Amino acid sequence: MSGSAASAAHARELARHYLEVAQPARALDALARAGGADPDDPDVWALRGWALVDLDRPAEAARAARDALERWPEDVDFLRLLAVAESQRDHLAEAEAAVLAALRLEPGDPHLLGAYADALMRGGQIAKAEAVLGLAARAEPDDALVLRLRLNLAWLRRDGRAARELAERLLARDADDPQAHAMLGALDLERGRVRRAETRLATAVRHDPSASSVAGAARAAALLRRPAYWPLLPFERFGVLATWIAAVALIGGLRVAGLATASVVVAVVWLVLCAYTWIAAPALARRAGAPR
Amino acid sequence: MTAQVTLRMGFRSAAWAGTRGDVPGEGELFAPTLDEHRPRDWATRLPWRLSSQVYVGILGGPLAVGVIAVLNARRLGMARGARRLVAAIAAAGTILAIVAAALVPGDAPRLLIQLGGALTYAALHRVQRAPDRIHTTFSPHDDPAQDYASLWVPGIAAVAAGLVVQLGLVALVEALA
Amino acid sequence: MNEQRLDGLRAAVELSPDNHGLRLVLAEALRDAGHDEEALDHLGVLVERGAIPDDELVPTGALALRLGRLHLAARCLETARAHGVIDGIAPLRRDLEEALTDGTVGGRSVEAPTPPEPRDLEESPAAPVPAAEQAAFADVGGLDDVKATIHRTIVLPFQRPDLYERYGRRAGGSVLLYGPPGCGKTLLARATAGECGLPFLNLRIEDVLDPYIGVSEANLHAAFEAARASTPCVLFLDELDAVAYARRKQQGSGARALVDQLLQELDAIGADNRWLLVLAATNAPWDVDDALKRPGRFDRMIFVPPPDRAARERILALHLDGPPTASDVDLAALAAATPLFSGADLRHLTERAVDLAIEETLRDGGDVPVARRHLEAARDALAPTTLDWLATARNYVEFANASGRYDDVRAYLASPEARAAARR
Repeated sequence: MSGSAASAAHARELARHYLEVAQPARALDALARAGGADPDDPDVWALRGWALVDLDRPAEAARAARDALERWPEDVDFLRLLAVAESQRDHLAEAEAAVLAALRLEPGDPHLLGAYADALMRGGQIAKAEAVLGLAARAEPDDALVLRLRLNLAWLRRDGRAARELAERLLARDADDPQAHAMLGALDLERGRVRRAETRLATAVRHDPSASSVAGAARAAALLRRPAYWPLLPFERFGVLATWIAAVALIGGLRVAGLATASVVVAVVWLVLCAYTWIAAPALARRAGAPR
Repeated sequence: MTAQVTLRMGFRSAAWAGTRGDVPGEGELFAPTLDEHRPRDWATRLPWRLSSQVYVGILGGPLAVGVIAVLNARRLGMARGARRLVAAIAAAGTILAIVAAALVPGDAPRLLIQLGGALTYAALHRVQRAPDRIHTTFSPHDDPAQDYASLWVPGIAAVAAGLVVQLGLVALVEALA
Repeated sequence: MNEQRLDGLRAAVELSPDNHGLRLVLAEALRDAGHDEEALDHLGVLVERGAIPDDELVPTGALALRLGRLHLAARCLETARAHGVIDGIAPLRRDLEEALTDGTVGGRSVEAPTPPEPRDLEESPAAPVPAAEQAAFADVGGLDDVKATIHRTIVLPFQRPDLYERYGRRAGGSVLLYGPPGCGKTLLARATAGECGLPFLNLRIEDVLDPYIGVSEANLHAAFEAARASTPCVLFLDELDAVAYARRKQQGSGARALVDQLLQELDAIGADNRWLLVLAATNAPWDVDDALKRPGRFDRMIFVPPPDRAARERILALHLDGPPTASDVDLAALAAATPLFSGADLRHLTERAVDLAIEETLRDGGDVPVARRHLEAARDALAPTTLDWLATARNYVEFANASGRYDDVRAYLASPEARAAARR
């Protein structure tokens, strides 16, 4: 092997390592320092493409995948890369075409099925996504990626019980799994269990501090425990319409029972509380995004 | 109003490694169904918060909340069939509320319109909530507050116009009845 | 060959340091004359530059092994493998493994290397940079608090070992510098070595990583052995989060073994880390394996914030020292208007301003100096790259600072400059 080939091999190894340790920008730098993509080395093309996916640059990743497929037309890995990149930028028709082409070459690959299910979820085709993920789960029931996708699906379907079970399975693999903690925190928040939600979400942030939305939710959960934000809790737990129906039913019931004065008092208090929540909710959102 | 937790846990490249599996193909599952999907516009045409639409329904009636919901369904990227369902619910709710307000004895048609608005909202909320959750889960924004457009201007316009139109229609039906 | 002829060759190489063929001839002549150490120095330069012939790799590796320069021996082995050399590889690998395990080669103890004599050799990444060529704290603008902390906790124990030993403290140990990218952690590490008067050994991850199983760990061990052989010295590990990424977060197994090896080296199993200061730098302390942050390892962590106003002014002056500048340039005002800008951001800003001045020159003719308007336009077009880091750090500090380890980050985030910049 010539010196330049050794250098290219070293750059490839370096880039692969950087991707493994979640540093895609450095992976791209390592490949660039070695003189860019070696036209005959598919690994380098793949590493560059996946680094672009990790950097949230899906348009460039998709272009890299298409360029690679011109050289290696039936390469399943490049089709997989193309599918993931196109899904990431919401070009779901293209993502579907790529993943179906890959599945024709490697039918039953659970990660390809997972990529298809991800595109279907993004496109709102939940039932079909569930069926496709079911195939993947039959093939690899304990695969981490398949479990994560099933967790996302359960969240989208509002199946709290399934989401909890899948989150617990992820935690059995890794007690600090941030996605699992975030999911359990979200479910607790939905059910008004604010203290538990705060603990779960804080744990998720501890293990993935770059997840800004989860950090915001953790701050919001902490704020909801303060008396100033208690009026928001029924709306959080039951939804706006159900809370209104309950309030109107209470006011109407008091009126029917002949307690006109009480019904007026409750109605006034209710309207004041609603007006207060119109101020408190944006304030909470602003503070959840601000430093503590 | 709600402190939404949006779960956008991406999947890093190392996860998509690929594994082997012996799963028989299920023919129908692998027929393309996403070919009509159009990429969403995350910058300008953002949807409106579902929880805010209840006030449009309560204050403006089923026509107001129906119009908002039809526009929102397009912004959420709902499929054609689902958008038709939204329009059908809005139309049905409006017609029922107007007929009830015109024909039921009593002198408070506006209250019936508002009650109809609340019930229509409940049905529309049910249809929109899954696409709404998909929208927030896969949104590229780091700040969840950026996932929605403000409903103040379109909401007030819908309420004002909706009340005028509905009450006018109620008067028309009463006159015809 | 007699000494006179050797001197002639030495002079010729000194005049033509890039003449690899000549250097190889000198190395062979030195070896034949019994000057093995000096021969190996020249061969080492050729290895680092990739200019050594394939048939010399195994003999050079064997010589390096015999003289106890394990890092160079490992490098020769790696290069030979990459070049497809077969003859002699197996025995060299076996002897290297033996040396790494029990400090012997073929049953004989590895000769203790003597400290290198100062020579006019090109610096190679594998060789320690002599103390005389180091940076100093005076070369680092601002960061007075950080420098004071480093001086008290790291430099003084080296300068006053007798005093600190009376209190049960030893010089050396491990310190982790962390903070946003481009804020001078590497320069600060070099300056620390310079202040201690110690050679500085910069170990980059590309020096360690190898595609073959086990060689990365061997490279890391060899680097630590080379550092121990050069004590007292400073060994610097840049990008610690890449070398020692949290094992819990890893999805493959390739990088785990490297973390295990680093833990062994820091625990000095079978070796002595006295007088060895291990400095490391990282942009992501939360991604470093927790085991590395436990007592006895990198339990001393120092936050290196973005440069303050005085430091920014100094950095801007440095970057604008070359190009022509107009009289209306107010560096103090510009420094005040660039909060949270890292050193790299300020360099980018000045480069952009210079580009704008050049564009004007090309468009309008004449010599347009870099003026205030160019600098302000460049500043308006750029945002500090530290913002993302600070957002992540803020999340981490809020929810993972029960031990108080990141209190200095919390204090920085609460500072008026950081809060004002974050609100913008």
